Amino acid sequence: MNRLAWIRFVASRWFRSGRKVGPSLGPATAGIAVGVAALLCVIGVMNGFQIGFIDAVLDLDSYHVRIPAAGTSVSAVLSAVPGARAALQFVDVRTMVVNARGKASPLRIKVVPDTVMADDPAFAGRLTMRSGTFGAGLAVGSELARSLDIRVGDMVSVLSVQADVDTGIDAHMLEFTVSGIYHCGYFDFDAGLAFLPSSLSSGLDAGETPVIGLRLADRYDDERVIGLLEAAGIRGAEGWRTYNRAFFGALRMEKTVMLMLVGLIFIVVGVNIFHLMRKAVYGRVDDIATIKALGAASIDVRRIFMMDGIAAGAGGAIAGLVVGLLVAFNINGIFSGISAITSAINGLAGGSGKGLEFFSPDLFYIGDVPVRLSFFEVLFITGAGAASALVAAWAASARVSRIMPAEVLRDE
Amino acid sequence: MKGAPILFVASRFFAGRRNAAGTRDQARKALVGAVLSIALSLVPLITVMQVADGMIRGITARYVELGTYHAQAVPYASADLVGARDAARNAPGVTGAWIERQSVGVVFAHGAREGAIIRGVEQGFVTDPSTLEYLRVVSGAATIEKPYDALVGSAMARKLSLNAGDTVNLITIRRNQSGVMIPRVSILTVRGVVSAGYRDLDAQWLFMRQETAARLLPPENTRSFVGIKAADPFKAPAAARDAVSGHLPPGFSVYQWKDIQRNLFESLASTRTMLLLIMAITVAVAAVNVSSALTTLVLERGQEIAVMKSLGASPADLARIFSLGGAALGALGAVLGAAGGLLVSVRINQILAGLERILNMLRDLSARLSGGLSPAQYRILDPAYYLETIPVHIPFAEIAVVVIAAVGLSFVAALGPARRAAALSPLDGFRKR
Amino acid sequence: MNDDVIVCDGVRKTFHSAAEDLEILRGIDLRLSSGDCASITGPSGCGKSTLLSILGGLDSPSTGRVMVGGIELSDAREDELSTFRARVVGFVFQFHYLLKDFTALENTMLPAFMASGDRRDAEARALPLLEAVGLGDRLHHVPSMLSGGERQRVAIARALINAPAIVLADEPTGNLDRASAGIVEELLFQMAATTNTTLLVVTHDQGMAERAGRRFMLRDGVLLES
Repeated sequence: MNRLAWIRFVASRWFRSGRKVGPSLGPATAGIAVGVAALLCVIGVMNGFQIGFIDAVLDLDSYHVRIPAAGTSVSAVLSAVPGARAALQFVDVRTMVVNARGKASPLRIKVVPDTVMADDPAFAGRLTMRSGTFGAGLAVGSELARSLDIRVGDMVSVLSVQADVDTGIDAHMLEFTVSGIYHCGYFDFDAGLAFLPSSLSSGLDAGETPVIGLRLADRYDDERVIGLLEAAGIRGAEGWRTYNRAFFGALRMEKTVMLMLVGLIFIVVGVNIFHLMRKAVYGRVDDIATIKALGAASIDVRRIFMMDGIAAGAGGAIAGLVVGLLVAFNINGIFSGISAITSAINGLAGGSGKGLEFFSPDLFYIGDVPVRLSFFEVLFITGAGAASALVAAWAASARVSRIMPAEVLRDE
Repeated sequence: MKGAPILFVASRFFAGRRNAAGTRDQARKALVGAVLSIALSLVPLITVMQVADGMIRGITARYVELGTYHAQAVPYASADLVGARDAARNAPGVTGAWIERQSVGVVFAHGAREGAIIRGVEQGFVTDPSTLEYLRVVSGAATIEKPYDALVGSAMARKLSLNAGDTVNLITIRRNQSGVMIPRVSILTVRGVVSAGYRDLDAQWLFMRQETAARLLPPENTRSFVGIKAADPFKAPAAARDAVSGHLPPGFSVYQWKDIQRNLFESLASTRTMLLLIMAITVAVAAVNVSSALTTLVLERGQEIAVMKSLGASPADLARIFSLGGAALGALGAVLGAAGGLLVSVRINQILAGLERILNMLRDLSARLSGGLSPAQYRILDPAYYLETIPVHIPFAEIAVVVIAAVGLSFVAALGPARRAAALSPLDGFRKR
Repeated sequence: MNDDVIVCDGVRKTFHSAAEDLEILRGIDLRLSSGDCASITGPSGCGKSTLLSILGGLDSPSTGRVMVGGIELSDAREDELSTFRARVVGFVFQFHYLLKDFTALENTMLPAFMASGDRRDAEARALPLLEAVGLGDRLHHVPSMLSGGERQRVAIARALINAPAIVLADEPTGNLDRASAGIVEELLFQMAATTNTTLLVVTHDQGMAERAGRRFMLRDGVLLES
């Protein structure tokens, strides 16, 4: 736009040579970059942890919608929800498992259809079989296998309990062969969730309430689908967000709090930029008056100062974006590097040679630190960083309107 | 130059003049802004530090007093638990020692079932003041005097709809004479429902008498030990262990609580460290404000600096004025921030409750406006994952460290402008308008 | 009437300060036609600069009507004033008020650039003006590299670049030595005459004042024509 050409011209000259007039905007720009980068890393790591859990829970346990199977059937559900990816009926049995040596552990066994691996690719993809196969017996998690010292082919006993109003409690042991050991990355599952094809269940699931799990194309579609089911007369459906409310609510709250806390950096930097820009305006009072006398309007002069603000805001935000993404997606390498360096220093100083460990696998049940960032989050964080600079600069430039050429030029 | 004149000049530099016109007042506003920035950055740091410390303390205390004890004497080649317990009780400094037998089982009641962590304990442990400090009795009474008495955790009670006086079926698995695994059903009476205030800890508890547990629980699936308590476990973590070492019969190893649950406590600690590191970044960025404000001050007071130099002040004196001034700014901001942070942390439970109320009102309102259902109550700190209330505990030492660090950072941030002030030649100062 | 470029009717200006209220202009009546060349003299501090500021749209009267170049200034909005300052008036100040970070050429072409958005065109128009004031070889010097008289000459070129209807000059030679003052005075009157621009000069230099076609004196806040 031609109207802006002269504004850019003046801005570039003023802010190239204006460094002697006041403290430079450099540290503030760096501050924005630091804020954006830090936020991206923190949120990325938090997301990574959470999404690991969420995906495991959604794919293996809660599905997107849970429907009590009583009074309906898988085919009824599928016809009510045409776009669904898969629907399966399963039964959750809370019980105990005992290994050959007599060591016991609590266990939740999910009795699934025999064809689950074929019917539900998401399920199949989430279960990485460390050894053995799925479908020929009980599939247990890697943590349970470790604590009970179970290998593929071992026999284990599982407690089966039925309660009858008349005969009371009927408890007996059922024998199963461990056909496979899986690993999904979520500790609670790897240690306490096993799968059993229904044809081999030997009545373990008798008396328990079967549930139909529905998998959708879009996990956020659950509310709408529940409406579809209600319309088709299928009641009692529960979406994954309601079913796991406490879990996801806690995760979301943590993320929000972190966003706010680290976002304080933007406020602090904003204050800095505000004062720097005010100083810049006051340092150029006579130039501003001259330009106004030549016919520039206040808003034009404010735009001149905004150019500096935009440069700081956009520059800082983009720099922070680049650095943040680089660090976040290479965070494992960086952590190992820091560990190596600190342990070397520790060793040199005569210490035990143990370095600073972040997310050490002994403490956190993960191998590599996962990092995930949604496009929206990246946009929001980068935008907030830039916006803080722009808002501060705009507020600071308001002073420009108060500068009257007559008053300034009269001062001799 | 002596101290008194330096202080006089410095205070005038920084405090500014009352009748300063708009343009000369910039520095003063920037200084105020810098102080507020430091304060603002410290409030969340201190609040997070308090809350995290409080939570960790609360969680740890519950684990220690209700779960792992201060120390455990674990038999590796002995079965004389009674002897070990009595010996431990008599050791000097020990406030209590009790036998515990732990196993797993399934609890069946009212047609529903839940996995249970069976804790065969002594009545003395349940009624010990250190236990009752954290163990809240939700209903009934915390007694297991009769052989088949039991106490259950509140989560289990809710799941199985249990109240004091109900009976439950406890199913355990043992090996019979032929070596076959068979289930064993025992009927227990619930005497009370208890809660530790932290669901991760008490979700699957079932307390019963340890003598009964010895009879019912399969030895190959039971972990038996003597739990020992001594003085303050935080100030002296190894006190309980050290107190009983040497007093116990042979065949026992003693472990202090820090070793028993090491993973949990270390992961809590490392989470806290990382949180604080992130907060520290904000403080560093705030220190930049101090640097900018001081630079502005140097540039505006150019004339005064020149005058001082022509009167005999050395560059070092000027540098000292500004760097100490920066430290003072940092101190002022840090004190303000610490006060603010303390205020928030001391009242954190009330603040959170208030926020929850507002949030829930807003959610209700928006649901009503959009014609949807009223959503369930939203808890900021869901008791399923956090402590029900955040304990308030003020670590003065740590706050002092934070304040000192903030002052140090400000001092470092002031070094740049200080050098500028020192290097300002008197002629330049006079030439500036 | 239609030829009147400047019209003042009963213009008053009062300055308010903590100590007192000072009425500087006490009813100014003035009419200048297109192409007129006028001077205003008077003791210092009597309000000459204030009047010029009002005529140039940099200040507004307390009461009274001001019309310059066909535009009513008394009730103009800020954006109207900005356009007025850019197109209708060219101002030459006592202190040159050139922008210190820009060269002579850039300073001169800036008003044209601001109006048209076309830098090349603006520079092309600035070139002949700078040559006319004798600074063709100083195009790329910044003000700190120019003498007082040279800076004032740049200011004149800048004032003329948008071909304004009126040029207002406030003590244009006040700060210059004899030789430079003479050159600047010559240039100012010549260029105004050549371009048929209305020129109003405030000065305390009697010689320059006499050169003007119409001569005014500002005394006790009132304008007297001699």
